[in-house]
Amino acid sequence: MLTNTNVLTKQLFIYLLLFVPIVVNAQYQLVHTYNSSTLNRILLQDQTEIYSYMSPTNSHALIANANHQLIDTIPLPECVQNPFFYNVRNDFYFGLGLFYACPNLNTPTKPVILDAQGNEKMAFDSNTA
Amino acid sequence: MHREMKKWHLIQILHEFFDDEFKTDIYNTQSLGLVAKFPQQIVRPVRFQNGQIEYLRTYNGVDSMFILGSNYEKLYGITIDSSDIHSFYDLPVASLNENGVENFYFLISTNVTNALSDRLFYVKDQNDAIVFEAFGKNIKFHKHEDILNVTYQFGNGFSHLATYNINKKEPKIIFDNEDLANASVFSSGPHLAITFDRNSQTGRFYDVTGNISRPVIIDDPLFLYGLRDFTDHLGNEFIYYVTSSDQGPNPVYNTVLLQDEAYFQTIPNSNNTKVSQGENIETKLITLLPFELDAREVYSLMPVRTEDDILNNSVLLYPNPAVDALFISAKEKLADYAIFDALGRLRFNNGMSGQQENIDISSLEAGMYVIVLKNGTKHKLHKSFIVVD
Repeated sequence: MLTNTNVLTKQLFIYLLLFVPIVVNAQYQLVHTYNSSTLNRILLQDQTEIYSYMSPTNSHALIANANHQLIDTIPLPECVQNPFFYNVRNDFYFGLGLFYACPNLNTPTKPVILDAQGNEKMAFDSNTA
Repeated sequence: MHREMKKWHLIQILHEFFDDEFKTDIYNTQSLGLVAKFPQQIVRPVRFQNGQIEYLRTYNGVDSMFILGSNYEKLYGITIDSSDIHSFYDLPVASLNENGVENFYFLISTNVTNALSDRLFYVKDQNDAIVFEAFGKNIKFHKHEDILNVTYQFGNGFSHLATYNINKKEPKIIFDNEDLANASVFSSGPHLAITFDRNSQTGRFYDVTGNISRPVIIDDPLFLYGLRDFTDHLGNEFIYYVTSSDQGPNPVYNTVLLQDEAYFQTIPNSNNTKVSQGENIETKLITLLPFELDAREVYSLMPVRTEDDILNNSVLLYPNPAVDALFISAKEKLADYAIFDALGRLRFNNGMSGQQENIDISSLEAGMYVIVLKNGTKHKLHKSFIVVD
């Protein structure tokens, strides 16, 4: 049974809804921080996204999902210097693959394509790619 | 012109620095087999406006430049005087839809200068004909929708800014002010240019038609980097740039965002800002935290306008009040409409096949009504109107 107080409260609430503007501040919002300067956002062909970045010791390529949760760790070949880590794409016949190269000052650097297990799928006879 | 995009092709650019040889190989990512080989050339992928065709541009040395089709066949080509060419790696090309046909234009900057050190540049069409030629600095293509302009500065300092409209084949001075001598002009992408006066430290926006947009205050305009613009997947247009308050050992970098040429937001302590976007995916900004953790931050755009807002702004309902006819004019195709009276009763509804509709409301009595419009998706628009006798 509605009392007068309840009715008044309900009416006041309706009036508030009617006359108080709902303000939505448009803004950019920080969603995640990666402790790596090598971060790349990769838009996959199914319109989803992943993020790739180098591990702190440069030993692994790390893959995060759209929620920035680590989903894959790809071992990289040993490299004395800071390796080049180009990009990741998922349109290879074996799925996810990445470009990788270890620079060598004396001989041409030969970039490779690695699969998600770190296996070399293809090598290029060039010093960069 | 319709060509199927070879979405599985890997574009691989190979540079043989040791023997000074350039070559490009293209492989298929499904078979890793060699698809095409370009000796002594540079091939770069360029995606043009229709979004379905992946053309390539390539230089044969520096004496020619041409557009390749998706099967790597030569479509169009121009010749370049290699003795005069200024930039080998950056030869801008833009496409323009003219009477339903996609035509290409090439922008070539040369080493020839005048007494004011302005470079001679020229624009060639795809038939190798020069369509415009002038002296200038900071020369760029600016494209917005189906309008293509070349903007350039000229004269003493950077005090004069002009544009040449490819569509109308006409040059135009945007500003010509000696007081702005030594101001810097930054290009912001397809349709805007910005200048800031180093003395007054104020910024101004101009569009390439010469209209002065609303003034924009630029924080610490002495150092400004990376002016870019982008449109998110909802159609919101943004401009962003990075400023630095100090060039000393510990400069503070900030990324400033503008929307519709008005100040929008500053992301403090952010540098090397990159925009990551796709056709149907939320745009994100990725910034570098300078001098701290060597870390990158990912920023997400909170909705500025929803798709419903965009629909609301794209539909015109008139006259209001109405007597016996109501007109709908929309920027996009609408699917159907329904009219309800003040008691919420459906009075009538109908399908729509286009963007315009003339509704006979002579059977409606005087009062307030609501029309509900749908655009073929789940998005609905409610608009009220009044019927008078």
